[in-house]
Amino acid sequence: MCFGVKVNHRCAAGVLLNNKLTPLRNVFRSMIYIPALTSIIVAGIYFRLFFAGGSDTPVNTLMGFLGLPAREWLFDTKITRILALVFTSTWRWLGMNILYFLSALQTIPPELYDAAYVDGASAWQRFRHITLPGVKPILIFVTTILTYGGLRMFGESYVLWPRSKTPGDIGVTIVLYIYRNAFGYFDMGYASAMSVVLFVCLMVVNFIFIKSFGIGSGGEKR
Amino acid sequence: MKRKLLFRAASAVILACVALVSLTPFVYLLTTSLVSDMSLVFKNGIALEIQRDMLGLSNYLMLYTENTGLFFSWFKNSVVITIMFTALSVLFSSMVGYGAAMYQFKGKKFIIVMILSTMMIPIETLMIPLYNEMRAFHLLNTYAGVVLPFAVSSFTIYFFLQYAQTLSKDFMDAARIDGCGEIRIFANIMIPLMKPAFASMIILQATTAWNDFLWPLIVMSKNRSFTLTVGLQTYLSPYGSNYNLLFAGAVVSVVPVIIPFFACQKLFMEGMIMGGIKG
Repeated sequence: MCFGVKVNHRCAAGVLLNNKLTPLRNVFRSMIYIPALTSIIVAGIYFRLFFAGGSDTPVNTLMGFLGLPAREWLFDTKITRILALVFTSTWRWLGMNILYFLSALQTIPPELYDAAYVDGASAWQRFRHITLPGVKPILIFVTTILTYGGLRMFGESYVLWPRSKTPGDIGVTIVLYIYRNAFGYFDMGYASAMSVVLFVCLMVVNFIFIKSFGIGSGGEKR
Repeated sequence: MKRKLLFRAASAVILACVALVSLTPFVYLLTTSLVSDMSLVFKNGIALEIQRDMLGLSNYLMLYTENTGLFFSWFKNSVVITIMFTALSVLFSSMVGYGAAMYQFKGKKFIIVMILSTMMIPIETLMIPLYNEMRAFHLLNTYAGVVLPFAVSSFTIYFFLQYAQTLSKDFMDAARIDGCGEIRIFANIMIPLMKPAFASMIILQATTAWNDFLWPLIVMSKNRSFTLTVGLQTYLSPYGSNYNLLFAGAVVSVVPVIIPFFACQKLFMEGMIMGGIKG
């Protein structure tokens, strides 16, 4: 019912965007960024249709291309539903997270790369030993806010399924469940109890990240 | 040299793919919103078969006339709430942040720690107590009910606090010697100095307020008092959604954010990067 969304390969995209060689990087930057400006409702309207069961939808066309049967993505199985949810929220926050990595990458002094190049480090070694440590605080920060955001997900689940009813309630996130109990059935006590549990979960997530990386709130301070 | 060229080409292709994924929904929404007979476009799910002669503005007209301008009362609500939220938030947060950065007073550290610790509390866990509070104050279905609970957030205060710490206190002393009161110092000297902070916070708070969904959904329960985001999703229903209105409405709700974005991209990105801490 709940799951964190972790897509950290955005780091790679950030590297590309920061590289001066890449053509038109400013244009790409703003294009990738636009989804973050839209509300979840607009995104949901599109993705409901995107993942719908018709055989002409983009996803199902791709499936047909691969020789697989068309699916009713939003209702089929647990996995496809979660994929739909994850994809929707990834689409929205991709640009933002790329920008975080970008700002981190810009703080790495270029001399380090030159020095490593002179010493004969390969591209992978340079990435592993210079770029990765350089963006580590941001990596932790982004992972935290994504897990946090995944646990707090509400709008995606609310919009993707009509009137937020799914067979078996598999597409329901914690927050939606709380919302439904509190304001749908007016079972405030139960909903409050769940809120407390959610709060504890989120705090645990926070502390795990802070402790395990031993950087305090370095991600926030930057 | 050849490798560099290859790298350029490869990265351009990858980025183009990402950009394509990011942008298709908008292109699709825009084109489909112009199609008047939705049954021609899709049966179950989207399909990209749009011919020239299907296009027209009838959906927007329908949006305008439907239910005696219901959509535009939503639009108006969203605009009012966004303006109120942004104004209150920026005004009060800047005051608190500035005060905490510039003045020495008893218990200052404690207050700052208290403010910052609320940053860890997700609003989703607070929705039930806040709802009851709003009900007790008779603020349900009012603008104030949507705006007030989150108008002054610890994050915005923190942002202004950090920014104000970079300002020199010599300005204050100079102004005091010239006989300037504390409020005038803030209004006439410090606000102009903090302009960049104001710009990025205004943008951040305005986009947040415009796109906010959960809280308006809880507070607003009357048809007429919905905001755009809440209102739009009422067009979705299990028994077939009204796609004509949905698409046109979605386009109308996105445009007020996208146009300023293109006008001042840099400010937007800076503001939103800061705002990510809020989650």
